[in-house]
Amino acid sequence: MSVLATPRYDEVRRAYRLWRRSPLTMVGTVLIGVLLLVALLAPVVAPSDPYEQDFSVRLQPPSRAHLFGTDQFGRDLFSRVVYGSRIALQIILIVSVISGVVGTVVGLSAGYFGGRTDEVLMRVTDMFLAFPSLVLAMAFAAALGPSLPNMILAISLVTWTPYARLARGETLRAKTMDFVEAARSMGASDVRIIGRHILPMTVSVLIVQLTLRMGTIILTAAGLGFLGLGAQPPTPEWGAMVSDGRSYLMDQWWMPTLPGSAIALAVLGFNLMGDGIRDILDPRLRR
Amino acid sequence: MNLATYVARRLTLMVLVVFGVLVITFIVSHVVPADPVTAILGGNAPQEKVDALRRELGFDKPLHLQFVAYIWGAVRGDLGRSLRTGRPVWDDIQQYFPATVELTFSAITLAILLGVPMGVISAVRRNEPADHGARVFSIVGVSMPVFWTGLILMLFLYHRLGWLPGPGRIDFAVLPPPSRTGLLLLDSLIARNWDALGSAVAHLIMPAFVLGYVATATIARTTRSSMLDVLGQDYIRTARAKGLRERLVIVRHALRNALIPTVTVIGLVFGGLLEGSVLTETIFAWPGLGRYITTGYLTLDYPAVMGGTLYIAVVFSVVNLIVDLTYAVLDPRIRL
Amino acid sequence: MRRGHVVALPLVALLLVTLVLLPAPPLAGSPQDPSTLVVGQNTSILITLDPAVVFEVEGVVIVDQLYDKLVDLDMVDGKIKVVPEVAESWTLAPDGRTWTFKIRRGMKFPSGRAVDAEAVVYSLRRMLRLNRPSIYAFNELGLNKDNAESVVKMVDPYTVQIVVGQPFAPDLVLAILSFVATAVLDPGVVEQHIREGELGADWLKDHSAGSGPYTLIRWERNEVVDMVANPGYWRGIPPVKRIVIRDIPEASAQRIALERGDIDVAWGLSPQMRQEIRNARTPGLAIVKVPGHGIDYMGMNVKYPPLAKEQVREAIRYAIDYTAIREGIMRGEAIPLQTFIPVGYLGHNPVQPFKQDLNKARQLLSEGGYPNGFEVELAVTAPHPTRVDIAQVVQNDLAKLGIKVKIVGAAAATVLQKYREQGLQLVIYGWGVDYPDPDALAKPFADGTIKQLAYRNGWMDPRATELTKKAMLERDPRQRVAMYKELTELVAHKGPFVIFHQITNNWVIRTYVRGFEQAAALGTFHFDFTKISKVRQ
Repeated sequence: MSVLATPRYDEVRRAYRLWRRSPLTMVGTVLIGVLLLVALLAPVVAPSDPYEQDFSVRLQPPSRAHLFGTDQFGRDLFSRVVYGSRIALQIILIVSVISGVVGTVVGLSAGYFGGRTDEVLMRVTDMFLAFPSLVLAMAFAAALGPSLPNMILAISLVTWTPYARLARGETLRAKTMDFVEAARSMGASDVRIIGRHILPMTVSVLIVQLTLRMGTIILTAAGLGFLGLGAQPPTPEWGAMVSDGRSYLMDQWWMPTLPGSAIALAVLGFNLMGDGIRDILDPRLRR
Repeated sequence: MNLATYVARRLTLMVLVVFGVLVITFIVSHVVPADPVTAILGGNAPQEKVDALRRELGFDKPLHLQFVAYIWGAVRGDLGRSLRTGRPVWDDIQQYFPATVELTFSAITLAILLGVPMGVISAVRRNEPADHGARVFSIVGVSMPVFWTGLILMLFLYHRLGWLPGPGRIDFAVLPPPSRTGLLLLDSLIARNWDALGSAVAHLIMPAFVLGYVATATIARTTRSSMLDVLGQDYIRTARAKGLRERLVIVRHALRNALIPTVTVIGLVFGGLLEGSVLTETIFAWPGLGRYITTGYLTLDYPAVMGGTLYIAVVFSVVNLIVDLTYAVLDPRIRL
Repeated sequence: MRRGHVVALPLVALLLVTLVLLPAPPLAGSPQDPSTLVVGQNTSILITLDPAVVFEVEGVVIVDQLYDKLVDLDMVDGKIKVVPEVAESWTLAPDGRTWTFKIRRGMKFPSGRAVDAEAVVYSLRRMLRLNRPSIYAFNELGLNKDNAESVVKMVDPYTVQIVVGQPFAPDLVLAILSFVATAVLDPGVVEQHIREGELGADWLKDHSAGSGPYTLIRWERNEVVDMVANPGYWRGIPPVKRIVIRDIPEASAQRIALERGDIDVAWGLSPQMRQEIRNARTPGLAIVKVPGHGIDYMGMNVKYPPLAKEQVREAIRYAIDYTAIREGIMRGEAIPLQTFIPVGYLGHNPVQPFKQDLNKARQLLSEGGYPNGFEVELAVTAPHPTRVDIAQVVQNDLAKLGIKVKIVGAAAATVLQKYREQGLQLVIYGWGVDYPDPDALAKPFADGTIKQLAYRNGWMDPRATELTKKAMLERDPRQRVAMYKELTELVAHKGPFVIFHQITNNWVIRTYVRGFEQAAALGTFHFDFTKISKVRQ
C-alpha cells in the first residue's frame, strides 16, 4: 500500500547507489554489522567468561592476553565489553518495541477518535515532552529500583512521545483518504479500519523513526547505567562499566575509557546509518 | 490569535505540566520502598526513635494527605527538608542552582560561538574539506556519551598534560569570594578577586565544552542546512548579481535569515543541556542542581528529588516559552 | 536590518566577554603557612555543629575541637580508656547508680565565664531535653528528657551528680559519657541566641560556644569550615593556630590537591587511591592508618529456609575468601576480625576460626540438607566504594558451592527499610560503633530481643540474650571479659553473621605534618588536632 512497504526495484537500486556514494553511511553500516556479529558470536569472540574473577591478574593494562586489560576483580574487560554488546542490543530491541507500541496506540487513538480523547492524550504527551527525558527516566528507574529490566521499562516510558505524535499525524492524514472513507461508509468497524487501513500506513514511517533513534536509546541507557540507576554489577552493561571504572581513571585509564569507546562506536554507527537512511528516504534533504 | 492569548494559553499549559510533574514525582517517590526516616537516622538507630521521628515528620499519614500537605507547602515556597543535608530543599536549590546556570550558559555561549561559524563555513564551502570536517565533528558530537567525553578530556587535559584544572568550580588554593549572586564569575568580578576569576574561568572551560559539544553539533547542522536553503533563494542571487561583495551577502543577507531556525534550535538544545548537566556535573564534581538531584535519586532523598525536579520543570518550561516568544518576535509571519 | 541586530548584539557581547575572560591569569597558590593546617574533605554530609544534635562522624570530629567534654578518651597500650577532661575525677556510690563528678577548676570559656558545675548541668540537661536521635545511648542509661532535672544535679559549684537507671558496668557508663553530647556549652552565650522551644539549636548549628582548643570563625556550606585556636585554652595554645577544612567532594580531586601541596591532609581518599599512592611512593606523602570503629559483615536471615540451618551458615563462612576481600578489595587496610568485638575494645576476642575451605564448606552444606546449593538474594547498598565489590567476591565464592547469589543493589534507605522488617535474605552492611564499649556491639549482634542486627536477621538465642544483659550490669571487668569471650564465640558459630573484617581509618598527609598519628589514634571517636604541628620544609 505504501511506497515503503512495496518498494519497486529501481527504488532499491537508487537507494543502493546513494548508499554507495556516502562513505559515512557505509562506515555506519559496517560498525553496526560488526556490533551484530560480535553480539551473535560473543562466546566465540570473547577469550574468557565475562564474570570470571582472578585476583592474580587484577588491574592489568591492555596486553595480548587481555586486549582491554583487566578490572579490580581480574576479569577480562574485553570479554565483558563483548558480552556487553548483547545487553546493548537487548535494550535497543525491547525499548523500541515497547515505546513503538505505546506511541502508536496513543497516537492512533488520538488521531482516529479525535475530540476529547485527542485533547487528553496529546496534553499528556506534551507533559512528557515538556520535560528533560533523562531526568524523567532517572525518576522512573529510581522508583522501580535499579536493575536492567527496570531501566529498560524506564527508558520506554519516556521515549514513546515522538512516536505518538508521528502516529497521530499519519492517522490524521490517512483518515482523509478515499479508501478509508469508503471503508467507513461500507460499515467497517473501527478496529477493522485501524487494523487494515491505517496501521499499515503508519508502521513504515514509525519503523524508520525507530531506527533513527536507536543511538539515543543506547546513550540514555548508558547514562542511566553510569549514574548507577541501571544494570547492577556484575552485569557487563557498558555505562555501568564506565561508572565502575571511573574512580580508576588516573592510574588504570583503560577501565573506564575502553568500555566507553564501545558505547561511542555503537552510537556513531547507528547515527551514521540513521543519517544515511534519512538522506535516502527524504530527497529534500539530499544535497 | 494575538500574543496575549498565546502567552495565556502557554502559561496554562505550563501550570498543567508543572502539576503533572508534581504528581509523577510524588507517586514515584512514594512507591519506592524506602523509608525516609531510616534514611535520616541510619542503620544504628533503635526502632522507637524511628517510629517517633516518623510521627513527627508526618510520614505515618495517608498518602493523599501527604500530597495535599506537599502541594500546600510548595505553593507557599516550602519544599520540605532534604533528608540528606537536613536543610530546607529551597535553601539547597538556591545554593546549587547558580552553579548550573553558570555551567549551562557557558556551554550554550561556547556552542553558539563555535556552532554558528562552523555551520556558515560548511554551507559556504559545501562539499569541501572544511564542510566534511565540520560534519564529522558534528556526528561524532552527537554520538559520544557526555560522561565519556568528559572522562577522556579529563584524562588527557588534566591528568596527563595538566593544561586545565580538574573537577570543581575553583582551585582549592584559591579562597572563593563572598557569595553574593552565587555565580562565581560575577562574585569574583564584584569582589575584584582576579585570582578567583581566573581560576573559575579555567575550571569552566572543560565542563562547558563537554556539555556544549552536542549543542554545538546541533547548532552547526541547523545553521548549515538553513544557510543552504537561504543561499538558494532568489534575493541572494539578486544581491550577488548586483555585485555585492560575497562576505556582505553572506553576513548581511543570508545569515540574518538563516539564523531564525538556529534560534529555535538553541531553545531546543537547552533541554538537552539540562539533561547533559546531570551527567557533566557528576563527572566534574560540579556542585549544581543536576548533581543534587542525582545524589537525591541515589540516596532516595525524595524531598530533594521532588523539589529539584519541580524546579527544573519550571525553568525548562519558562525557557521554552521565552524561545517561542523570541521566535515569534523575530519572525512575525509565523502562526502563533 | 534592525531585527538582525537582535541576534547580532548578544553574540558580539558574548564574544567580547569571552575574549576578555579567556586569557586566564596564572593560578595563585596558597603560601604554606606553618601555623595553618588545610584539610581536604567531603563536607557535604555536615548537617550541624551543635554537640547535642550532631551524629555524623565528620561533624563529631569538628565539634570535638570546639568543646570540652565531661570525660575524654585516650589510647593506652592499644586499649581505649576513658580519661578526665572537664571532670577531673569521679566516684561511684555503692548503689552502683549515683555518679559524682568533680569539675576541674580554672577552665574558662572565651567569654571569660568559668567552666563550672552550673555550665555542665545546663549543657547536659539541654542535651537531654532536646532529645535528638544522637543521644539514644543516654536514654538507655535511663537519662531522658522527662527526668533531666532530677538525674543531673549540681551538688556545689564544682561538683555534679548523675544518677543512672541501673547499676550498669562502670566502663559502659563512662564510655557513653565520652560522646560529644556531653560537651560543655557557655550558658550565657547560648541563652542570648535561644528561640522558642529549640534551645539554641538553630544558632549552634554553625556557631560555637565552647571552651575547646579551637573556636569556629565561619562555616560556609560546601565551601569551607574555618577554625582558629582558642587563646584561653586550658591546656595551652595548640601549635596549629588555624584549621581550614576545604570541601573537596571528589576523592580524585583531594588526591591532586594533596600532591600539589594545596592541602596538608586528604580526609576521604578511597582505599584503591591510597593503594596507588603506596605503590607510587610519592615523595612527601605519608599514609596514617589507625583501627576504626566499625565492622563489615554479611547478615544471613534465618527466616529464609536454607539459612535457617546452622550448618548452611557455617558452610558459607567457610566458603568465603577473606584474604581476597582484605587484600583485593580493602587493599590490605582492613584488620582481620571474625568475632564481633573490635581490636582495642574491652573483651576483644582474637580467634579467627574461618578461612576458605571449600571441601569443609561442601560437607557442611550437605549436612545442612542442601548438597546442590540454593538460590539466594544478596542486598547491598549502592553506590559504595567497597561493599558492592565485596558482594561480587561473595557471589563468586558461593557459586563454587552451587549457591546462586543474585546481587540486588539499592539505596541505603531501601536496603535498611527491608532489613528492619526482616525482609532480606543475605545483606552486606557495616556496623559503626556508637560508643567504645563491648556493650555497643553485644546488643546489636547478640541480643535478638532488641530490634537490631540479630533481630533483623531473624535470630534469637536465649543464652546470647542472657549473656548480653548480664555483661551490661557486670561491675568486675574481668568477669565481663569472660562473659564476652563466651558470647563472641557463640555468635561466631551459631549467629546469623559472616564477619569480614574490622575497618580502619586512613588519612593521607604531607610528611611535614607531624603528630598526626597521635592525633588520630582513636580514629573518629576522638580526634585531637592539638597534637599536630607543621614543620617548615
